[in-house]
Amino acid sequence: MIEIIEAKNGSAVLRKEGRLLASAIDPQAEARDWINRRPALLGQVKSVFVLGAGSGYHISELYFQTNATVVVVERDRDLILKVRELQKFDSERIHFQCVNAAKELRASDIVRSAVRESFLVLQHAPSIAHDVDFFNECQAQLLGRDWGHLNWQWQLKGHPALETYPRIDTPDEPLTIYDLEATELVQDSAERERMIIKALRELVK
Amino acid sequence: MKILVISLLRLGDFVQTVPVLQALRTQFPVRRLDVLTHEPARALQPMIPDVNRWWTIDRDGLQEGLGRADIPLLASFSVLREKLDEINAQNYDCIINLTQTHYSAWIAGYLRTHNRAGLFFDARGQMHVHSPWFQYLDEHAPLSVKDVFHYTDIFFYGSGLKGPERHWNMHETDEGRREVAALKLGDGEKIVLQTLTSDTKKNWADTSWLKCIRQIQLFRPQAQFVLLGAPSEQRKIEKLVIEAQKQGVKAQEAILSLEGAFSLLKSSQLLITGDTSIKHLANATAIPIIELSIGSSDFRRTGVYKAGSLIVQSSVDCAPCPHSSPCSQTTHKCAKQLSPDLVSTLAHQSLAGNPFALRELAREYSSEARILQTRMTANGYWIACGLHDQAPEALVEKMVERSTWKFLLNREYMDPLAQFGSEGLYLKQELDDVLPRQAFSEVARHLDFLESEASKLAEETMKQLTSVRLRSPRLTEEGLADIGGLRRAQAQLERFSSQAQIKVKLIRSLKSQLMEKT
Repeated sequence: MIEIIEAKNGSAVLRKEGRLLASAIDPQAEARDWINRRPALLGQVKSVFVLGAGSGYHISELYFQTNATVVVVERDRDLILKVRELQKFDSERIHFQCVNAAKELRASDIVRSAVRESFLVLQHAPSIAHDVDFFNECQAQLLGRDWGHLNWQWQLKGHPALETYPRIDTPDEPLTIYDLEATELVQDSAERERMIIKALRELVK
Repeated sequence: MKILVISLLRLGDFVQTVPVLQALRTQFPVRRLDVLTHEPARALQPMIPDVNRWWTIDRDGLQEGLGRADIPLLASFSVLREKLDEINAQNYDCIINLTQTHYSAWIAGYLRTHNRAGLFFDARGQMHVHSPWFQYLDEHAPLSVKDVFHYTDIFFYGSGLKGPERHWNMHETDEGRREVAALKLGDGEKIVLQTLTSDTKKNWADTSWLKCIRQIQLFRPQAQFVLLGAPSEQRKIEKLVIEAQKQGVKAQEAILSLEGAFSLLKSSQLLITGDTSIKHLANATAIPIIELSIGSSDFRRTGVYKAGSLIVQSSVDCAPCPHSSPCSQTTHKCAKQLSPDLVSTLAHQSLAGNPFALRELAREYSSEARILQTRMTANGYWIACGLHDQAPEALVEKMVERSTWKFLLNREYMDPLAQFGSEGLYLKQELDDVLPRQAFSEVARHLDFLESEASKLAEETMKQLTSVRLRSPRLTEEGLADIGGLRRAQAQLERFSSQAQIKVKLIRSLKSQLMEKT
């Protein structure tokens, strides 16, 4: 059940199954703090995936502080409707993607189009607390820190699948640029993309 | 013509390229001159009028993207590729990479153009330089190389530019003037001290700075001391200023942007610094400069690039040390050995315009430090000459060597009308300025020796070259030769041979100039 309550500063915030989806004191200030803890590349990527619709204040803040397309991933359709109603989003830069399982993201045109270009993934902690496993799977899908998800993203960018070298020592650790460097693409080909991977590899030497 | 210049190191390294940017504008029919650099260098944008567009890379952001597991693995890759593809869409006629790193070489390689200069990799990972000057830079990179052209000269000639003129075309801005006006410094003599650098190894201890300032104040009671720093250095500078004021010194902090720092330098009478960015900003002003060359600061490659400036370096074996590694000594030897007495007296005599006192000072302190004075030679390169210990033989050898390299790398010797005579005349003019009259007989004797050595080398390399040229086709036919190895050996011998022949011609030209004058 989703209710609307009034925060101390007079703003409306949502409460789902007894849990608040934004600050009950000042949701706008909370959203600004959320953005301020952002990773450095936020101003440079073309899209940002937001995991969790919350009460929408963080989406609104993100929209105003960047030029990126915002894709909000959420499983609860009612929550999406409430957030839309509350924030009155009408920009073409904001999309809500309602999926029941993380793997459905692969079939979404909006997601596929965002993944083709640069993007980041931001978690909205109060929303995630409602559905931890679902959001963790979505995050893994989008971070591409394992071979399966990485290959999906790489191919979406228009390249052939990455031929990888087996990771014997740490197969369960998240992939890094070192693993990307160890692919056949970088080791044995003349693809121009290898030059960018090589340049980035120099940055973490 | 659309040119892109890449400079992907630190801020100070970018400032060093200013004369190159200016000369590209004047020597080539440039319609657009853009730069690709790191984000911090964008702060220079209002001051450098020769650049049309600033492309910047957020190096820290890319590194963060690679290092954090909660950021998509391909985020840094995509951000960098999108930026480089946008640059590629500009269709530059020429790309010049003024950065000698693998990182920049991969980026330069990804960018498409018909003409290149500087280091770049092709898609197969093969390295190319496209100018003998950048090959020279690569070969002379180790710190053990004692004599080397200044980076600004290498970048200048490596970019295909000509002539001895170097212009630091930088503009003062209203914002910079406003920042300095807000300091309310007054009209008296102002001595600017840049006490902190980006690398602790290059820093002089606070106690040394304080002692130095106190002593300068004894010499020059009216002087006002301005401690310059960036906003990130504010707390440390404030602490030093409070300490100086406690000791009765008229010190004031100046926490300024680069625009503000530039305006401050324009309106002050002396700069003492170990910081690369500020030192090179000062090149574009009239302010006299004393450079403290400490730690990894290598004045031979990146020293203050303005005639008449002073450089002080402790006489310790380990200086300069590599950038990336920590100090190898148990104490910060090179900084400790640099005495505040020396720097303060140097500052006073420099302001007093007393060259004899400077030389005397260099002699007195010769066991603990070297004092050098910079020169822009008519031959078209920067040199720093010891004020006390400049042996005539070493100087003439260094200058003949430099001119030889310049002729070789600029391929001037291949021109049938190569200006050996003019080069000899300029060399003579430089020696006249630097050496006392009585040193010329030693110079002449040493030139005889150098000529005979170079002639022998020319003869020997020519013999070897002929031998290689005759043998290589036969060895190749018999399948006995490593063709690549033979080619490299032949190219090396050709270079030695040309170098020796150029040197002989230059020495003869200089000798004839010396004889004419006597």
